[in-house]
Amino acid sequence: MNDTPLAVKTVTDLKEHVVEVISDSGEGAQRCGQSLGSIAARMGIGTWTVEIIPAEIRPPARSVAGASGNRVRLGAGRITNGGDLTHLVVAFNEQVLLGRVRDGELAPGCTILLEDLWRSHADPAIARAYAESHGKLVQAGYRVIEIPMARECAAIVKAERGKNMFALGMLCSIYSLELALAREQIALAFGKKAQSIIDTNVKLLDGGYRWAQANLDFKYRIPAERPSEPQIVVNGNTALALGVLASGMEICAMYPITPATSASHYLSDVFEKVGGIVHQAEDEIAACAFAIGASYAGKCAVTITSGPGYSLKQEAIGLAVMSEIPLVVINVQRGGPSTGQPTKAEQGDLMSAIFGSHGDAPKVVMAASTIEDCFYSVITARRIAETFNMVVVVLTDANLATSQQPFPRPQFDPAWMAPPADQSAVPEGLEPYDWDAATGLARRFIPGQPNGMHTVTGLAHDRASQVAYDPQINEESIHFRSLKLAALQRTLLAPPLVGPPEGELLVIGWGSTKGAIEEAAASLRGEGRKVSSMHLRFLQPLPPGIKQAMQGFKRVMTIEGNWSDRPEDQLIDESNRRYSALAMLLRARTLVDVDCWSEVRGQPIKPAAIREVIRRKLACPTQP
Amino acid sequence: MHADFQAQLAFHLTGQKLAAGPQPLEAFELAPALLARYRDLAALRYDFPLVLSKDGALHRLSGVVDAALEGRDEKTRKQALRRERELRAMLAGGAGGQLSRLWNGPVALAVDGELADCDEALPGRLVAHAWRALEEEKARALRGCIERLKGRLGDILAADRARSDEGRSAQALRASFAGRDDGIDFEALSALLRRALPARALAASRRRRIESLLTRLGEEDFGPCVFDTCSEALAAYRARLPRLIALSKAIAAARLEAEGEYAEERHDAFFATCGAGLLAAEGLADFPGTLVQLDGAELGMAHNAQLAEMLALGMPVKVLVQFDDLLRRSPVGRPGFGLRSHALAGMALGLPDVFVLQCAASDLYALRGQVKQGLDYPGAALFSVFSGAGGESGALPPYLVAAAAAESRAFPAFCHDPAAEAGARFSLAGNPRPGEDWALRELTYEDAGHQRVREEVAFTLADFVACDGRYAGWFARVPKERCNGGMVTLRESLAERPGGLPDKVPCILLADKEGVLHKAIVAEELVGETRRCLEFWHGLQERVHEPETKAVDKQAVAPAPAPAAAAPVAQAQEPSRNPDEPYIETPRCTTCEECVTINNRMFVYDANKQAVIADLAAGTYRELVEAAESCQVSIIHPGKPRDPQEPGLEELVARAQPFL
Amino acid sequence: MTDTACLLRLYEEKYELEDYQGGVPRWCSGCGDNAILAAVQRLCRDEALRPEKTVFVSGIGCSSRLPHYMSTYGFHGIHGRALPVAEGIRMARPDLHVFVNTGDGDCCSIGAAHWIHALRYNMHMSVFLHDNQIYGLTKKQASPTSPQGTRSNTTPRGAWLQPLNPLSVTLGVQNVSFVAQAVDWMPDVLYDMVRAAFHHPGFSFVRIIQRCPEWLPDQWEPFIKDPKRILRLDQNGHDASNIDRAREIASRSDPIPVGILYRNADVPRYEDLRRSPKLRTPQLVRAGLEAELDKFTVWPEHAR
Repeated sequence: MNDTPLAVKTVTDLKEHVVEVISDSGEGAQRCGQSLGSIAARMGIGTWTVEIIPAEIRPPARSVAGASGNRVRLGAGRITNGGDLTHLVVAFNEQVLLGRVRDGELAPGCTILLEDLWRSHADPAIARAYAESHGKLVQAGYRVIEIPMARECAAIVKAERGKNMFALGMLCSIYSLELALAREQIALAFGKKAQSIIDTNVKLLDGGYRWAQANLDFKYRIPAERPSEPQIVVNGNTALALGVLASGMEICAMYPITPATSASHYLSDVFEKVGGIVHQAEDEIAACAFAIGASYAGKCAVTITSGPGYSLKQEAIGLAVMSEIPLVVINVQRGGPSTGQPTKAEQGDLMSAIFGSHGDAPKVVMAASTIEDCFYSVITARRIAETFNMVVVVLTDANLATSQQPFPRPQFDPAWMAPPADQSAVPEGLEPYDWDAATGLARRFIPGQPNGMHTVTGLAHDRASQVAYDPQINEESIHFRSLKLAALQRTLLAPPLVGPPEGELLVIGWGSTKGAIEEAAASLRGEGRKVSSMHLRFLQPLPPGIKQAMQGFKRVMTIEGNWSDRPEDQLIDESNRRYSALAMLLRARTLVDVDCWSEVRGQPIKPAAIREVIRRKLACPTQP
Repeated sequence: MHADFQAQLAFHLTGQKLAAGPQPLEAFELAPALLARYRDLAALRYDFPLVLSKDGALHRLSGVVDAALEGRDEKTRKQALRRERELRAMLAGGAGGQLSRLWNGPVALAVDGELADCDEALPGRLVAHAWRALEEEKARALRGCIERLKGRLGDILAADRARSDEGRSAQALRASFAGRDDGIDFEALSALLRRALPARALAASRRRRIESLLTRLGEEDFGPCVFDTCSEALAAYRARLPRLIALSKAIAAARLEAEGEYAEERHDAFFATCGAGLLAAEGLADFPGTLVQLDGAELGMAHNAQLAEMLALGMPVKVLVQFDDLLRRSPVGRPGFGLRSHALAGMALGLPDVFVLQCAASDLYALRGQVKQGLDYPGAALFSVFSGAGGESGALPPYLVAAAAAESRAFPAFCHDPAAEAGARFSLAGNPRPGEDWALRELTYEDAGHQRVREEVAFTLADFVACDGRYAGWFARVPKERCNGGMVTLRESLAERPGGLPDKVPCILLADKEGVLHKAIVAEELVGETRRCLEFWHGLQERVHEPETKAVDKQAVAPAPAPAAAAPVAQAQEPSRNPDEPYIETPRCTTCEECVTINNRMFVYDANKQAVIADLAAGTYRELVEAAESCQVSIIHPGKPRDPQEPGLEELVARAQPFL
Repeated sequence: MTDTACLLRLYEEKYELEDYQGGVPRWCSGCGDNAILAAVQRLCRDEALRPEKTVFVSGIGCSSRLPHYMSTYGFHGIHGRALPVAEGIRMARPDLHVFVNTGDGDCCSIGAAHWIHALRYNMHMSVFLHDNQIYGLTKKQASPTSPQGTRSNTTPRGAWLQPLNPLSVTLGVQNVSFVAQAVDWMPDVLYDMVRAAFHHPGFSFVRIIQRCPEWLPDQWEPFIKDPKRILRLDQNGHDASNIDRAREIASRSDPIPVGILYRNADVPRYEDLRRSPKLRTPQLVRAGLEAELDKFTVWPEHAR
């Protein structure tokens, strides 16, 4: 595979490893990390890739807050979350690295492959800063290996660019990845570009690989099992966009907002190819109203947004609820309230999703808990919306939005494209809101249907859609709109329980925490603890069987990425504690004393943190 | 009378030479003076050869080359032009083919396509080329339209299926919800939906109709076709018509169905009965068309009849009639040059709805716009073209012969476009000096004394005939020393009608191979032909001015009739009114509800929702006055009270005063 | 295709005004909304618009009750958002006739952003601004178009600001394609403008100056009484293709200009720019999806 003699080294077998590639933004660490993930995935190593995004758009070079790159968790079998601390880092400068150290992301003794060109930098300040930091890192017990990446690259391509591919080569060597696959991956990644560019990058890749083979005295191997069926590797937002495309929806109305926008970026690029339209409206409200208009006219539409945008849409969502117009709203949650943390993950919008909009505005709320879910949830949401004439809110978050995880390639089913608008004449005697007494369901008359003419209105209205202030009618219509949730709930299955049906603790979660919770619970079961977990896809209505499942456990708690008061605060007790969103819902729904633990650090919750919480929880005695 | 003149006159009158008289010419001994300058066409950057590009467009080779030479240096330009000249010569020599393959000049050309020179094949190639492109375009449009309709009909069935129990079976729901292990019980959902929203199936008759339409729309399988006799074309057309009608009906029905406008009670009957009548040429124009290519020489009376029928049928047929030899002498009587083309033109111009274009092949590029109009025209179109490739014109290339025919009015260009604005339908565009008898050309030459002489010369039918070897005998050269005052130009003698100038000998100017000019006497028989030719030309000139009868102006689509409400207020007010009679200026009523609120039996709204007085008896004078007062645009005039007993009259009358 | 066209013509529907009358108007007698309702109903009848193919969209306010009084499809939405709703309808359904009825509060205040952008989009719809210069439904508050000094419940000592001029605002927006003005008390002009707006292939905006007998009685008396205080553009040779001239006219308020101030049928329509000519079949969607999935697919060894 290459001419350099292998340095004699032992190959360590690992169950898993977390790798980071970080740089100033614009140096290509992102691409390096993503490629690493894809190559590993192609070999059949489980991967989960998370973007490391600097808060600012263009942070100054070599700034502590400016780390940009990827965090790749490699492991045997299926990897369901970003994992815990980082075991190996490739850093293009020491400052961004310090940022990661400060955030406490590096495992003790973590291996650091550090670009050393700064040591001999012309600017004495920089050289000094490097030397100091290097010293600190070594003192802190990290295994720092200085590598002349820039110089090596220059030797290969007469330019300092392309470090990222050099680094990729080193990582391929370190993790015993197939160089051939890596070369293919590069060809794929640079597919649109000229052959010369691909060749250059392959040269750098080989260079990095050779260098590591020759100069590093360690090498790892992670058990790989080649996938038997094709997998696709995308992040959650791309999966959402693909879901919109597959759902047969034609119109997506949006307004730019982080972290949802990348879904719309991708959709804008591909939607037209299948005759779809992404409308960038003048504001969030217009985007929602535009989608409602399209849905009303018979083409169920979707609007994609994040927290602040979701707040702005509330009145329009209420209109869709009131007039029973199907609508899909995707909320890629970010840190809140207000502008909060645009690029960071949080699960803070569950309550506003369920109870948002004034008055009684029942809507369906689903949460995607994996990248794959992001794809299928959109299709399901659209069909629920059209079947029940309801607003369906799909919640994801910044964690899913920017993470990559392979999942089986979807097989398109034409049935996903919901039927075209019914334009046949409405039989005599039917009314626009012919609420079924048992379910509240009604057919919808769509413009173009003869005999169906009526005016939908956000005002209280009767079956003929005529404005009605009659107290009885008002109550009747509210009753039927609410009844539809019960009807849907009757068609839901009890959520599966992961782990034994009896035990000490049942952990319940929703959304992107699924992987971490299940991993933590599983490892604790490995230690003999009787912990099971349950993850909810439907938050409104809540599926049946939850309470029954709880009966089997001494304790029940939720683990969530939103705020809950800390019991240890001296001001906090049962009389005033604010619980996490799901905990509050479950307590109300089941009258079971459901506890909760939550974290709002903007980072995905780590399995280790969850393990720790559960251990503590199990340690303290059960209340009588 | 001078002996020379005697002999000359004799020749003119008889076409026979007398003993010592002027000698009739040998074939190709002399040629018309005006043509003398066009010895080497290849050196000339004229319209030909043409490039027939894929998209159906026409380009002049020289134009294509010029475009490629934009801003290139002199050297490249010289090379390119040389290459162009070589190509032109090759084509004149009978070569042909794809431009890109033949051209290896210094610059790349933006346009590619078959090269076509002005030869016998040109008219057919050029028309068929443009026609094919349009037909392909049409076929695409038709297919697209049919696909869309099928899609929309399919949607109706799909929507129906989705409403049906089958469409809401657990299995179907699971599939459409992309259901996996995602916690939905599709059996339950299916049961719930079926119970809550009972299926409403399409009416069986409608479903049947849609399904049959879908199959009928599937059967569009015929393409455009080309024939070289009218009888075949007619037969094929008759055979195809029923299918055209069937398809056209299917499309019409599908449209109504898709729009939800299909009403069985009336449309069933309509589609059962309506036949060819439903298909105007405009309707047929959307379907694959027919091109008929005829040889003018073949056109006997029988053919003319079929041709006339075909054109008159209103079938969107495009007919190309090509004439190669205008100077074929008719077996009996006078020569009758161009007789057939004149007859054809006359017949076609007799059919007001037929598009007609006549022109010489040499003008086909200049008149390409008209050619396209003719092909685009939804109805029948006739193209009558003279190729110049027949006859016996010796070394003269067809291009020049064709050009000469046009120049000499032997085969003038004209176009009749029924789709054009009234008054602009017939045009003589493409002819030199269309307003005059002849297109006079300036001829400059040196006389015996090497003096530059300038002379205005007409190019007449006789000059055209002089190009043809068959009729050299009609001209007799007059040696310079024998020229005399008895000789006049043919133009002068024709100007005098009838019968020209007695005791004068009409001549034309001819040139020999060395370019030396000679006067030649024209035989009377040819002068007669020339006069008839001129008369036909006058006939065309008159058409330009005479107003078209039955001018159906296609531009003016009458707008929806302006309804009562839009009528200007002024004219709505009748001037003379009896002020004692109450009335309302209804057209000015703003529907503000005031008066009808006061008394909705006395005041009612008309069909435009504007107030009128319906029944005076239904209310009191007081109400009239109150209404007048409350009317914000003061258009209610209460008049005088009808019931003198009504209380409080004086006061009311006073209040009514301002509204009388 | 022409043959079908003439076929359809064979069976042109004939409608009466009653065919478009929905609920009984709940407007005050004397209210200009009645005149506008009558005008659009006449239009529907005269153009023989099929009620099921016609949608009237509105926001909130007196004006926005209009859809309820039609017997077509209607969408009586939320305050200020009529335009984006109508845009969604238009984008989804090229086959429908879309009308928008909005008021000076709905359009020029809470919905102002949508108004300006709707002009930019130039989507095909007819928009009627019922401008009575006051909030009527909520009982007399000053609106953006209330003349300075207008006494209202929120401006008891008179409105402080110069009124917003809807005509000059619309004419100031890039892509504007049709702007007209009418007054409710001249039914012939009102009808002509409504009709011209309907026939305009794009976003047609008609500002209708409208009486509110309840809160601003006699506001327009002088203009109603004195014809000289109305400037009929159609009778004064105004060239509606001249936007500079249109802007000058728009800036005048006395005499009130009525008629078409500006019209340009050539402004591209957003829906035409965006809507794909492709026939949207499952095959097309499948092909598109598969092509995208290919970009992200990791094939198992044997598959490569």
